[in-house]
Amino acid sequence: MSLLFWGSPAHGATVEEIKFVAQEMACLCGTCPTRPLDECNCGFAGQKRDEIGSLLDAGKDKKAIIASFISRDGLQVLAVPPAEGFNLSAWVMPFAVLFGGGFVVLYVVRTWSQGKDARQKIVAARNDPPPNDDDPYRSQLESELRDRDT
Amino acid sequence: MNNFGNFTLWLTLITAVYAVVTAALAARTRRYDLTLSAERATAATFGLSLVSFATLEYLFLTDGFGIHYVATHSSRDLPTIYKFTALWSGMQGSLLLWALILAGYSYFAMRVTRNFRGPLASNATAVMAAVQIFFVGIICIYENPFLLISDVESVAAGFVPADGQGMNPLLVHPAMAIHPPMLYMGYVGFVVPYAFAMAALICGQVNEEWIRATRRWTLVPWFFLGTGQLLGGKWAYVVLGWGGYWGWDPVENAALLPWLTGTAFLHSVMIQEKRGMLKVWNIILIVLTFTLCIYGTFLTRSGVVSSVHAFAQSPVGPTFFGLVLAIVLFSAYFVWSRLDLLKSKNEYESPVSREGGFLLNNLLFITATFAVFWGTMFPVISEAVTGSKITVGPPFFNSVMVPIGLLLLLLTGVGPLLAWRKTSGRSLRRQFTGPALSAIVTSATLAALGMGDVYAIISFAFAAFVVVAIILEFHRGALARGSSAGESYPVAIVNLVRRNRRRYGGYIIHFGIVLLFIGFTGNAFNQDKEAALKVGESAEIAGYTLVYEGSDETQNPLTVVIETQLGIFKNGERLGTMWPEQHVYYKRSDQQRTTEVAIRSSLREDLYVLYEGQNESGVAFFRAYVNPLVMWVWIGAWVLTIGTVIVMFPDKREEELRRRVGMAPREARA
Repeated sequence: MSLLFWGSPAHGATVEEIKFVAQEMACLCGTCPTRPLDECNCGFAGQKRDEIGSLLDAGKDKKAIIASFISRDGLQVLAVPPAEGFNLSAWVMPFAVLFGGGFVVLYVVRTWSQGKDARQKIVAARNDPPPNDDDPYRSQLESELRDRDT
Repeated sequence: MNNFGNFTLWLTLITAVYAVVTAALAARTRRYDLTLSAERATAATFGLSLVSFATLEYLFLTDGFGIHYVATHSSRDLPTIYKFTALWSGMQGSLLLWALILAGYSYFAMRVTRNFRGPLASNATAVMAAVQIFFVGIICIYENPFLLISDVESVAAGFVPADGQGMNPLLVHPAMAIHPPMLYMGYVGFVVPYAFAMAALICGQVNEEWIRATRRWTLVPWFFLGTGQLLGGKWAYVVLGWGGYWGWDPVENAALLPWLTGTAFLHSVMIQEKRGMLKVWNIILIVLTFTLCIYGTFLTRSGVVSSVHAFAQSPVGPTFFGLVLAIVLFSAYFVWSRLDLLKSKNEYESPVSREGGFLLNNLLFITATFAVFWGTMFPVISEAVTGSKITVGPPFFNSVMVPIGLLLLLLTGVGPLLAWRKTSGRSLRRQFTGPALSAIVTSATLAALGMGDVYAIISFAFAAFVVVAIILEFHRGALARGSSAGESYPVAIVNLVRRNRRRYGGYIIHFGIVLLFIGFTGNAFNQDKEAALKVGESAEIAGYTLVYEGSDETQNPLTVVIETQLGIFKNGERLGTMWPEQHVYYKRSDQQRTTEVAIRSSLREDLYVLYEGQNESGVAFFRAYVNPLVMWVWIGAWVLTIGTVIVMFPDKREEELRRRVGMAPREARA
């Protein structure tokens, strides 16, 4: 029995070496939802993997191969937006929303908690027994001191 | 027949306009005769939509190829069931299906609220009829399915081709037959809670009874939308042959967006029911959910983003975007103008509470919604800003959504364990000890066994947490019933669910979600290999040996079927046989080929093999995948379905509450 595998008839590059490059690039055949080149099994993806294999055989490394594809077809060959320039916002924005939303939620619940505390103070003050002291100023002072301390 | 179809379409539009006018007037004047008239118009709109739909179906079933839409989406040799489903395989028919389902929802919502007529019900009818006008108007003006071929192409009047162009072979599958109707039942169904939300704002009746009544109307579309997506995933898995079930395609994402916000609403509404809080936020969630439904339709039909699922670019795109803007502006106006009515006594005592859990739940769901939206639209945004095209593929979505998803998974277990207002330290220890221990043991065991994927370990640990938490909830509840009602354990479990469907049905739904996550986690361990084999040769993948044993070719009226046979071995023992196929639609001008994947499923993993063709030397090309835990996705889908049905099942106590929505029953005739 003999085994024939992906990439071996035409290239010296191994399947894993081709996959290492292909997984960072998108299949632009238009019939799959821009899946990575190593996953898509359409003819277009197969041709691109062959091309990667040839470039690996020619001694180019991953960075150079991807750069050559970009120079020919543009940044759309990358499977994900590069984390630079405006495209960095693709990565940043979801987490900005998470943390920003978190701060908003914290602010709102803090407001609710303060509102509740204020209402509790008013109720507590209304329920306080009247001071027995005849001196009106002492009574007022003691009442204000109680409010400050609660 | 096309004239009859056209006539019913335009008549549907007229009755929808009549329904809006009479319903709005009925709400304003509270005249009983106008209320009745609006109800009859709603029923007529439904009836006429049904007739239009049935007319088009008749044309499909009788091979009416004089109609352009029928000729371009059907053929004589298509099996009858697929002639039926071909109606919604294209833009015009799918819009007609949408209009029919919308009319159906409007009619049934009207029927249910009939016993308590009033401004709330009348305004809701008016809102739904207004949306109906948009859709039927679009069909009549831009995407009429009853146009003759001679109306569209340069042929002689009355030209009828001998046969139609047929349906895309990829759509000739049972899952594809029901996937669109399910999705539309979801998308369209959110119009009901939206209409009632707007009606409540218009009338100024923003009380808790309204929200309880609309909760079931939200559950129904939520269920259909989720089920529709899972069905689509199943179809993609067994038909498309790329080894997966979710590709983060823009149209897939468009269906996910309202499901995420709908899920947030279903949780957030509990705070309003229990504590009277978050009224404004809940209204915003309903508006956002419905807006995203319409936005999803816009994405699918506008060509703004490229997608394998999208219909061809159409002039209706900008019109749909206009509807999105109109909904946002209309809703924003009423929310803003009724803010004083929506004020609630918001008291928040502790973050370690059910309220805190729900707030975090909403934050995560909204973040997930934004992340999917942002990733879907980013290619368009980036090109507009930088001038160069960019790809946002599955690796982006997986990178962003996995951490958010894991947090949501954990919250699925934590949230129900928290008490309303404040959870005491004693309660925390009692409730969390078991689940936390199970998570720790699970993660330690997996790490010790050599599992290297950190996200996978976290996912399984969180899954264990949630499962144990759910089991303990059922156990404690059953013990309590056993001691108070004297019921046996099994009977107590059944009665727990029967007596408190929302709570325990909800737990079953959560359990289904856990199973889905277990299935998703298996993706981290997928393996695939391509092999080129002559008869007798073999390939190995993940411990399996696949031996190519030969092929056979047969022909039927539609296709040439090339069937290959693979013997499956493991450790030298034959496990069985698989038959991956290729179908060639030889009558089509493009000779389209489809793969019929062979799948050998077990709870542990799927062995998934497709046949890609062969060369002149008789070398056959195969691609094999081993996908661990996929079956748990489908099992989880079933459990989710069962849980949702339990929650949706009518509750007598809730029925009484629903009767209190709107005005008092039956106003006297003038």
